[in-house]
Amino acid sequence: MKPAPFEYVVAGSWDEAVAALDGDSRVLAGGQSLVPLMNQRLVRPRRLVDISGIPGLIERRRGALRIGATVRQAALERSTLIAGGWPLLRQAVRHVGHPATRARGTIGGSVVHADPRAELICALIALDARFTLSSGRAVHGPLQLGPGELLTAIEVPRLQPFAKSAFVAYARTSGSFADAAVAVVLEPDRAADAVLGAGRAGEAEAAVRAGASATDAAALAADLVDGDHHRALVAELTRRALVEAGHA
Amino acid sequence: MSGWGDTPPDLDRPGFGTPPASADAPRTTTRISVRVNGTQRHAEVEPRTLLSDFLRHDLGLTGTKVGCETGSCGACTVQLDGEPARACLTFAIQVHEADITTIEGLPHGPLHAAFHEHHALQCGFCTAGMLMTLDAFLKTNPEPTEDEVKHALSGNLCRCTGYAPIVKAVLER
Ligand code: FES
Ligand code: FES
Repeated sequence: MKPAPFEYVVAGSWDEAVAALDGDSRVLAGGQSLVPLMNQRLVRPRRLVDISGIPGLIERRRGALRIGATVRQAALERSTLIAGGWPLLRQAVRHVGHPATRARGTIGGSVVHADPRAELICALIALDARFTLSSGRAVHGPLQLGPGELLTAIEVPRLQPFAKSAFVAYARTSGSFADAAVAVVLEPDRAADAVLGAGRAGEAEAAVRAGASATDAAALAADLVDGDHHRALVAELTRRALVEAGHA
Repeated sequence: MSGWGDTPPDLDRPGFGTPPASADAPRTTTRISVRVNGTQRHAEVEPRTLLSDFLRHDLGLTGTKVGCETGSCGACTVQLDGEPARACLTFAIQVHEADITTIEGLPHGPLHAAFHEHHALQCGFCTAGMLMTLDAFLKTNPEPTEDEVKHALSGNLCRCTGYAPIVKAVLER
């Protein structure tokens, strides 16, 4: 089994990448989602534009975190800056695939591929991340790329002192996509609760701020999803995440 | 030729389940130079050649196995610049000037001996991927707990051993 023939173009910069893209091309970053699709010929681009050589950094800028889109997932997992300032991302990325796929897979690829079960997106939503695009646009919330637009970086605001966070997931086997997952960030005057595939649980967040118990808030978060099993999972995971983040 | 006849030279031919390649699909090759197990190798590859096929077909290094070609089984795991990577999810053209280690280049050591000792393989199809994954893992975690070993191996499927002997081999190497 091989992918259908394609033309391979290496982009050394974001400008080169945008220039090389046309309607029948795809961007190759780490390839851990795209290549399986190409191997099965579910996707047959005429041209692949390889952006993995465009440098990407994990850096702190005016207190906020900036992650280049081409940063590998393994680099995020090992970064001391992330571990110290935004441990939620480190917890979440450990649920993405396996060590061998994280060594190649990129943060940007995970975000743009936008699988509804992508753990990293769930954590980034809880952290109020902003996505910087090649067009200069910055997007807050669900990412919709326009034609010829590329995700170049992700910015995560600084957390307040004494912020606590937790990422809890349930998957049948380690490394497969989670059946359910919840990311929680608790700060002195802010509560964020993101449910995998369903976005922020605003009512649960308000309840936490108003002092409701973890169990009661968790029941509100479960309203975001359908099906008894899924609801039970989300409720229990939210409760655990809230407790782990220090909310009784 | 096997009893089943020759493999079709090109799965793109009409009637084989996928639409034919579009007429303008380019079929060029590119010269790559890559260090494999310490030896510099040069070859002409099509962009679509997977690293796993390049290793097995072009270089004859058949120790790297191919199970699924969708990144699920881990049989094709090699080390790319010291990191474990799925050879079936990497194009050969991407490893130009990189450094690859395959099972053929992994020096025999206590881990091999422990696999032997504990019957950590039966058919052996998963073993190369297991060893390449473990070798990279043990470099940074020389004294792992049982849980850490299981987590490290979560991307490598084995249909024979039931995993217990593999985990034991790692812990008692
Ligand atoms: S053949 Fe590469 S992961 Fe299965
Ligand atoms: S020994 Fe047969 S698959 Fe592992």
